[in-house]
Amino acid sequence: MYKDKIEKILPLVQKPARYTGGELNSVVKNKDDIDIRFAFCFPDTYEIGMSHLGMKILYSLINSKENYWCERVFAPDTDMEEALRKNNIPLFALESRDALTEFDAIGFTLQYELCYTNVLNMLNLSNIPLRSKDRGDTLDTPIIVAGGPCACNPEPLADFIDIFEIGEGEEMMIELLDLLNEYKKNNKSRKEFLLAASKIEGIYVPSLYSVTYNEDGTIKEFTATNGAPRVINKRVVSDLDNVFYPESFVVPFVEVVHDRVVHEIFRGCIRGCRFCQAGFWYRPIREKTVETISKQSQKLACTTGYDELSLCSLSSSDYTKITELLEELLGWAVPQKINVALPSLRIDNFSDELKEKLALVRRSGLTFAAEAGTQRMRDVINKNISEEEILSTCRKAFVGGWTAVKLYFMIGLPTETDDDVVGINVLSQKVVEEFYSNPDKPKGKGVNVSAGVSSFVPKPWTPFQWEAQDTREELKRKQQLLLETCTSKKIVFRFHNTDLTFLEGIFARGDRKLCDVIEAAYKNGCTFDSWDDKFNFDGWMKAFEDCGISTEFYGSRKRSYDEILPWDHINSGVSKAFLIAENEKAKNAETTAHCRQKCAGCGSNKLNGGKCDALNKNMVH
Amino acid sequence: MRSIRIWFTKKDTARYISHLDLTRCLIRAFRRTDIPLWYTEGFNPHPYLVFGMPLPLGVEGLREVLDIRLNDDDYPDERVLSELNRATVPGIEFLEVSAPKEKPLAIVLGKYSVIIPDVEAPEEFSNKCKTAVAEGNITIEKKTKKGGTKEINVCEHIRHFHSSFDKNGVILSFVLPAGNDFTVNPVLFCNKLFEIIGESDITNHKIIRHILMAKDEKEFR
Ligand code: SF4
Repeated sequence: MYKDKIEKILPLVQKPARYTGGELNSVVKNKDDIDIRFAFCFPDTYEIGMSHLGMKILYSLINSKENYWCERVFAPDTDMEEALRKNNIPLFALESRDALTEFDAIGFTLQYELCYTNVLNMLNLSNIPLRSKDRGDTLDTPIIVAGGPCACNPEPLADFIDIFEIGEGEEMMIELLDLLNEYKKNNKSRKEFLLAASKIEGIYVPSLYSVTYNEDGTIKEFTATNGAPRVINKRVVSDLDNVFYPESFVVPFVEVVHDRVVHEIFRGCIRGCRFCQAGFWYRPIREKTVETISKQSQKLACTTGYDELSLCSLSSSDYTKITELLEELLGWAVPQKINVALPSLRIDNFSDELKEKLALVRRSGLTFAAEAGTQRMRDVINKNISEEEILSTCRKAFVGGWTAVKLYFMIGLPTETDDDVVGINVLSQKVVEEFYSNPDKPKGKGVNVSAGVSSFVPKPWTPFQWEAQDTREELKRKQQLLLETCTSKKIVFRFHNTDLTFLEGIFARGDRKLCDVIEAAYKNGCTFDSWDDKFNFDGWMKAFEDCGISTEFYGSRKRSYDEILPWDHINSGVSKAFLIAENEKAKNAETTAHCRQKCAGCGSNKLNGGKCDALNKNMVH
Repeated sequence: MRSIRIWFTKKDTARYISHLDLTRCLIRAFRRTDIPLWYTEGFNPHPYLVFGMPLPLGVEGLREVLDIRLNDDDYPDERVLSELNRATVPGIEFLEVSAPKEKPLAIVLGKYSVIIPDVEAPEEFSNKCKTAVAEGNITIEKKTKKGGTKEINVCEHIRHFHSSFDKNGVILSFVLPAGNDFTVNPVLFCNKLFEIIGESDITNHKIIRHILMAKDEKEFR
């Protein structure tokens, strides 16, 4: 029996508490009372997966139904994988330690493109066929589901996944499991189930669609078969105050990346930065009320014992009542010795009193996403922030006693010239000078400007989805240019690995032809691709070569507006006309006002009955 | 402010919680109760928690010890117990609250047993263990405080070694140093012992620490 074998290998692996289960608030149910068993799989390590809010929400949501049981599964670390394979132990879920083949459905969350080989590895470790077509025609083999941000272009995984959940899962997950429960009870076939599932709003069953290609490799036609819907609408949860939110989180024993109460205060983003997929994909804007956020996080603090509460949303300070919210939270958090952490926050508009309270709770380092070095470049990407704003924030921070600043930039942006690249140095240098011009600067202390420079990846659902990605050579040249033109020892650059960026770019905009490449790379030994120390670039390049797939076609090729894009059968609400208009404005370095100043008519509110919280409530768009 | 000593178990899955993680886990457990835990003063106040003697990863403890301080002198001991047992995780059970008699530094020894299930020839296995210990040369590597390693012979430090068997398996019992100044890790000892008797494949044995002892093998109180 493999369960005894699990006990035998636990003493042999690093940090065994990642595989034991038994954490506070983990849910163990009696199998006999359960109709549907769901294994929530995170295709990365425990430490990363346990930090993920979406998993916590869906875990609690499914377990709130008496007759459904959701368990957790993470990608085993290298030593654990070896031990599992050597001892013929299938990948198991943490709560019951049952093999994944004993589940009715298995759900992967796709947080980044470079986790795809881990998805295959987890299926393989579970002895589940990699390809949907090899899983038979009964519901005995678990249904493989996938969701998360990368499902916004599901095509590179189309052959492996039975069902994609496009958009927000809180409602469609339960609808899907209810359907599965019903179809299992009535002994329906897999095909019948998949077809019925495809009628649920937000559900995409890739095997029900066929694709033909033009000679140049672009898509000729994408056809729905068997009466599946022609267009799949992204699922949008309308009312964040009344949608399910967990009353408890599983509290891990080992230290994980984000080990705290997290609260999403709104969805969507008003900013419209043209490179940012999340900013468009999660539209329209929907806010939670101060009361709901406060009540729910207080409950979570109570059931977990966490001493930190962090607000997470894109650009959190755009929350309409941010001051009121912080005052409310600090009101109960401070007496309970709970830190309130605020990532990605512009603190400029806060009163000194509030700033002091926040400082009292936590002095986190100052980080600033400037994104580009010149104003022209920032206008192209619609990052509506001026140099003066950046410098004045740094000035205030230096006056407040800070000596380190982290700046974030991107290179490889559309229309970028060498002057724009060098502009990153110019701006960083100005930040350094800002420090030295502070008359009260701490004696004997220098300043530390850390410049994180990532490489731009054109993503679906952004105005730049048609743009060519810089080649690896070009990106390396620009990195070198930055190093060569930097004259200050106070500036330290951190660059992203260009090979990783290159692959990310291919899969972000990939089509179904890439399924073969992913499988080939997996067979070449590629897993944990986002881990610098485990990344096997040669394995990938060989896979492309063996499959006869050109990387340039996906990466450094500019698309025309009329090309059928691999994700065109999905409707995120954001219209193509809007994205084209934004792309054209970018070419002229024209900015677009943020959503509270003026609605730009992105179209995303159409999937939400016309509503968008950034719009005047009465205004029907 | 009042100091109390709390006795607890660390069994089953909880035996895989590392010492560092245990501290965090127990602080969070306290935070889920209304126990008036005393916090250190200063810019970054943290609760005052002193453990008797950390358990090596994977070893079960039946009577581990933790000292804390309470802000409220009148908060009843029984309530400390009931609150903690309400807030705890599987495997960690709080047994007793007492007034500290000795300082944690008084701990010098630990009493252990090792359960080895599913042994094919238990009698032979047991005898081989006895012989290996009697022969007096079981050396393991030990980290020194300076960061290097040195070899020590466990046989010079082990006391009351005993080995018995039944039809299912073998049980070893012994006392080893477990103090702040000097400690011998029972995990390393078992691994070495099994290696010497040609049974290094064994990984499903369970090491249990029964009690901690002070000088003269008196139970630590
Ligand atoms: S509908 Fe208008 S206000 Fe709402 S996200 Fe789109 S552009 Fe912004």
